[in-house]
Amino acid sequence: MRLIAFTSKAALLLMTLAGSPRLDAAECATLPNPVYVTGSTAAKPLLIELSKYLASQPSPVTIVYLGQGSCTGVGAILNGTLIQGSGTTALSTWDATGTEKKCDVTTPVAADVGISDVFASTCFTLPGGLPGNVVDFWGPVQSMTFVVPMGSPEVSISAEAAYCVFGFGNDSGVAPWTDETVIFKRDTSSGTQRMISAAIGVPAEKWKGAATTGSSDLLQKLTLASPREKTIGILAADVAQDNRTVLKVLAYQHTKQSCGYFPDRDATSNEKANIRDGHYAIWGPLHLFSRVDNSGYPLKSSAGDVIGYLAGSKSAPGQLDLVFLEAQRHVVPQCAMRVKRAQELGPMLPFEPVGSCGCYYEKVANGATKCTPCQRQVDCPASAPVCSYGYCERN
Amino acid sequence: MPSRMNSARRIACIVGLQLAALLPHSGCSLILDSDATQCGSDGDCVHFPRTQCDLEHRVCVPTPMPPQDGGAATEVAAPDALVSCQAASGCFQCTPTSDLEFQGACSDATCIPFDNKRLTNINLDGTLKDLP
Repeated sequence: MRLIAFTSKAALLLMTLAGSPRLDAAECATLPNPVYVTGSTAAKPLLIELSKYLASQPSPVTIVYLGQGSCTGVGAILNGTLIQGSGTTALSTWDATGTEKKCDVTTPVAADVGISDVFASTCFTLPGGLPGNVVDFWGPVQSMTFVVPMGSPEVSISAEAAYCVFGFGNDSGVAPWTDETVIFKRDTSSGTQRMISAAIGVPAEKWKGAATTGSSDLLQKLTLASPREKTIGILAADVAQDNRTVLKVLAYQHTKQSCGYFPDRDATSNEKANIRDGHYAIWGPLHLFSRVDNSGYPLKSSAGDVIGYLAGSKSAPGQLDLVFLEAQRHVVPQCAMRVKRAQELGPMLPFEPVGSCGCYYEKVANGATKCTPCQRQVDCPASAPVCSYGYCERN
Repeated sequence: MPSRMNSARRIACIVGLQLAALLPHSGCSLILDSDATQCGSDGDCVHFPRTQCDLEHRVCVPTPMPPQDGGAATEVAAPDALVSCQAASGCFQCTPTSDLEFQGACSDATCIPFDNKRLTNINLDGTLKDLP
């Protein structure tokens, strides 16, 4: 089973690094129920999984994706920036097996969903908030990480150290991270960089280091860089976790925190315990921006369905288990969270979601949970009286 | 093997917390220890229900009950009846409600402290330099 998991991850890495072959590219508009999604490159693995499933339904929906960075995705909805691409810039779709295919958008179209790792206000100055015809729907929670190549002796980093490394580059004064050619950053449109900026206090436009064009590019450069001990970069946790064979996620010690934590309980588990309970600081919901009608529903109904599935507000068709899917993609459904926040890296508040799925999430993410299994409420103890997703939860 | 790893993790965590105890940290004000300077204002006692700061002794003490039937104020409990929110290891063991409490809550998770003494390009007073 481990071998299968490893093989599939290795295959995903190879696909990610190599890019997908350009097959016979159709016009995207001719595909069944196309939903145009643009923005975060870190969200791509989750979209692939959802695309596979939706493509296999009797009434298939085709997610047509253009990865451009989170803030570009926000801008596509806020500013109505049209998207297009063909040939080498063709957009991506996935069939029911998860095989990536390309399609052309020769006549520019409006994006249906702008997908972002960060709040709109992290990308743009919005003194009056979002326009009335745009809604920020919250999807699962994801986290951003500092990563080093396998072979680096480093195991943790503090907010203060990251400030020096990414704010001063060659002059960081934090050995061994003193060589800008192997300190890898993203760009100002990147949600990964923007969210980490909010955590460490280095504005996205002031980062030092070698630029990369996306998560895949950063991953490739990081893993090939030399010397390894001087190399560091940033990745969304889902991308980092898919590549644990070639890189290490550093434990992160936030300002005023006395110890560094991984997103997960330890370096090898998958349950995102430290995101869910607030020990790991760099996290936020995936944002799904869409223009809406007067009732607050996305203008294109199939886009509304996609958003609903990702936000957990709409039951997916057939047997799609979204909690399972999100656990596989290393993001956290809202129902598994114990903390919440309303702004980028803003103060955390206790969160008790109705219909908690924390225990089930642990079970599918790690393969085991210490929670009490249940079929009915009466199976549960007073300390966790609610039977939800097959396990006794506090609420 | 797993138990060995867990021990190592715990040691790393405890060492980190001991280091942290040497630093100025709001968690220090949560210790209910009459020998220590525990508070400077009532705000430092918010983590102990129904307490306020005794400014003379600088410890959190129970808030006097309002007088009933014109009687004298009475205390709700003796100080030693209160529960400290800081565990012996230094972590926060009550229900967390703020960032510092969430981030310092007791947990069985691996924690690996980063030693900020490794930072050499900082101001003489230990603060971070302005960005170039």
